[in-house]
Amino acid sequence: MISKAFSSFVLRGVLLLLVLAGCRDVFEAPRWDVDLLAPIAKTTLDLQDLDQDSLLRENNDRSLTLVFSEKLFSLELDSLFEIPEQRFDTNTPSYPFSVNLPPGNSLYTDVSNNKFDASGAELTNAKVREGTIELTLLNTLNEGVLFTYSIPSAKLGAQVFRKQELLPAGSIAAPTQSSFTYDLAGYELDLTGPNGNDHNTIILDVEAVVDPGGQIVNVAAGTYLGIKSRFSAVRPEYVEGYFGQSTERATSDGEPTDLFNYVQNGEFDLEEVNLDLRIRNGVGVDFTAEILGLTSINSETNTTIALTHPTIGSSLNVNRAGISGLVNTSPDVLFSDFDLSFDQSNSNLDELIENQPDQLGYQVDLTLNPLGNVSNHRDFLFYDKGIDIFLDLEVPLSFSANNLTLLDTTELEIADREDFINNVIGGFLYAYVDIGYPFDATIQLVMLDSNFNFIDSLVVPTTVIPAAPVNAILRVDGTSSAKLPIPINQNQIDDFYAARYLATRISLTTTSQPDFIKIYSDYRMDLKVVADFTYRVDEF
Amino acid sequence: MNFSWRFRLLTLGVLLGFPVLLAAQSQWSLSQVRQDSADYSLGVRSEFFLNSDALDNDFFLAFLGNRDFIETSVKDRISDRLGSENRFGGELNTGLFFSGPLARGKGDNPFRLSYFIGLADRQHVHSIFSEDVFRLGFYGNKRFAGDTAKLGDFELHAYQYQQLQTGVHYDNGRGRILAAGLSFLKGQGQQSIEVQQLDLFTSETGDYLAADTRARVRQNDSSNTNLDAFNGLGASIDVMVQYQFNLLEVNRHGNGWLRLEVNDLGYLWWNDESLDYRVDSVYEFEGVVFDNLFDLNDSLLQSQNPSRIVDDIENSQGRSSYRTLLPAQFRLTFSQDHHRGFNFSMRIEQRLQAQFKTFVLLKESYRLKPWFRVALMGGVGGYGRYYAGAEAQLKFAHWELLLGSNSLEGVVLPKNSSGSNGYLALRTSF
Repeated sequence: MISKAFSSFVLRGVLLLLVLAGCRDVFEAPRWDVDLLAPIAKTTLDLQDLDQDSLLRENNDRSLTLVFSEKLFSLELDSLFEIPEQRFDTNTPSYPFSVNLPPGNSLYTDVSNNKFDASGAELTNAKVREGTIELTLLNTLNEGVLFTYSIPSAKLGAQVFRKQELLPAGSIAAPTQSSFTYDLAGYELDLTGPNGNDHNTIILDVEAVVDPGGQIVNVAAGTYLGIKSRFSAVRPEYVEGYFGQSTERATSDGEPTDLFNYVQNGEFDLEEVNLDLRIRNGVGVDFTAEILGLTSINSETNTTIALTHPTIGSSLNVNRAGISGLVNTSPDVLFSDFDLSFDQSNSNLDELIENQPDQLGYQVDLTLNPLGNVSNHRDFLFYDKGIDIFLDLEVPLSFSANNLTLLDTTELEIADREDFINNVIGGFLYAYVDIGYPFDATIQLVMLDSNFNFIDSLVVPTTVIPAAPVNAILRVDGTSSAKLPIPINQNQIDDFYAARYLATRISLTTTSQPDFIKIYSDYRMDLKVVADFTYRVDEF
Repeated sequence: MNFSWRFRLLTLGVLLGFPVLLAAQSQWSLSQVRQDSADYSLGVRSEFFLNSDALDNDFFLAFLGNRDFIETSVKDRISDRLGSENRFGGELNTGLFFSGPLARGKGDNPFRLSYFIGLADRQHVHSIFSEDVFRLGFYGNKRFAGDTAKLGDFELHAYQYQQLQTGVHYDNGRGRILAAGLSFLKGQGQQSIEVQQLDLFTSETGDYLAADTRARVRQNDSSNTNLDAFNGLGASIDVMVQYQFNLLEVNRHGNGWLRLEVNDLGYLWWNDESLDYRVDSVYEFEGVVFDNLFDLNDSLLQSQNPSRIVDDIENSQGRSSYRTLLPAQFRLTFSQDHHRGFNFSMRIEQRLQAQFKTFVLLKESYRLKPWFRVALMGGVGGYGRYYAGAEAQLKFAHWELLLGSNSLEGVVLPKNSSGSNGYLALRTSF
């Protein structure tokens, strides 16, 4: 009875549950369109933003001057005076007969003066920045031998370079041999030889004795010892001496310069331009510099303009650098500068700049010690000091421009924005521009693929932002406003996906003003970007 | 707001294919679990309603995913209907119950005392919103250019919990019935948004947005909101009292009664992992500020920070325990047989803190056959405006089926009326 009631209960329960069970369906999220009007971004743009590698200097009248410094080239001379690899190999004479020797008895002693070649330079002192000495010892004696290897002219502080190595017993048939490597960094080398009046000389002191802790040993006839040492890759921290007379040529067919990185095309005419070419000598040696040529190369237009100036092709004497403090106590180098000034009055400098070079070419000959050893072996050179030539360019921002187009490219990473952009149905981005510059301007945002190929343009390119009004002295007096529509449609959204770079292109023209226009520090351009588009809501 | 699939499923079922099975405001009460003369009863019951005084069924259909897209014509129709204060609410309750005898009187004292237990899944949502909330949400802020969207006085509360109920049912055999139930509640999920003020200003060109916000959002631990989630605990009581109360003496079988019910009076305590976010600040947004047009970068493009917070009175986010009062229901029902086979009833209903307008339902039923009864009904109030529905009750052997809807008007005229409601109860006695 109980079983029947229980069965009935279960059966009825199951039936009821089945009634409740439904088909689980998958519902689409509701979707609808909303019209959004929202600020996206705002910025105030000044010319400093255009080229952050340059410095805009504000003058007393608040006008701006572009100051641009670039090292044209640098001649590092330390490689010239690198101590080349030196080998000093010695095999002691063979014992002619058999003899018994007690522990500590001398087997071999030698002091030698070793000269090396330094590319014609006569070096008297040096401090090693990096380098090693590798010592290889060989023993045919049937008892241990204690080797002592010294360089009396090499000191680390007051400590002479001196190394001792004990080689175990060997035989004539099977000598024992070992190699040891020692770091020479920091050692100061006196290269003047035993009498102090020589140069390029290294003194070596080698001694070998029977192991003082060993036994009386019978030295067989024919026994010998081997001592080989090798100086390798010794680069000086500084060197001193007479560097000899030689001519070094610095040349480049086209050294890249980023001075006009942002300029894509167009023309401008500068009212004034000044260039200081500064030859900076950080080496303790006199030299003459002969500037054989300086060229402005625009590889886009394939235009090369050579600088004309009376100094081109003539010899310029540059004095040696000085030292403040002692040579061996990290002194300050007193640079010797030689300046040359160029402007429109003495050269065609404005043409070089207006050529908008992306490369600078040069050819300069430097002749060391043109008057010989006038320093009495006191020429010096520090590791990180050389001969540099700098260009210091100053361009007052007073110019006229015709479609001068500035371009910059930035990488786009919008992966996380796909969901959002996917739902934009269409509409516009509006750029509201309040411009306080005396230029007619156009702004374009151009989408580029990963190879910087053009995909699409965002802004209607023909939209011109009119120049701000200027007063009688050609100073901006007010602002002009413009509303730039940036259409957003499905094609452009697709293009946006494909885009990997966004190029911002601004074209400036001062054709409404025939005279040079000065740019002042208080000139600004305010930009607001507002989204006005239809967005499809699909996640709720 | 997160509608569960079950919520959507039943809504769609009501509106599309099962209007007869489903009906109006909540029927969920102790009166459904009482037994008649049988020793044991086992039943299931499910009910659903979704109603609004502004949103119509056609909109609900679109919103719940029946259509791919909510067309502008649908939004326009709703927009024209909006008032300064609009509301919607809904429930989905599904459960099992079982009852059995405890004691039975004889002779002059024919009382019946029985027990019951039930297990149910309960879901409730309600909201009150301004017309600007709808217009901003479904049209966007462009239509507010140069103006301020008033989004304050907005509330949205949603609860989902499971209920284990037990109680006793006493019928003195002379027309007086008492029933009481005690429920243990397992909180599954809760979300509460209370926006006292949210004024969103959009400038004429869209280059400036400002929001003056004072709001509180509470939500249970979102790491688990599945059926097995145990994010809160609670308790509630249900009480029913019924008296015989004959206004008319139709015949010797004439019957009338007055019933007073209190349902779901209780609290849910959500655990201390619940999120409590308060904000009382004024925000201004003028777009991402970047210093250099030539230095756009990814972090800039991804930035969504407001330009500035003008007045940051309060901006806190923490996790703490809190309690929510259930939208308890107070119901008064009067029923009267008035001619042979005919019955008239009236129900008046109010709910606690649920943005619920007093609901009045009138019903006239007729017993066509001993095993078949039908009813027509009409009402006003609640979350909607007006209602018209029908009910059917069938008895076969030991089975009894009750089904109905008091919002058929939403099915017949989905673009002109709101309201989806249905209830289904199936019981077997043995």
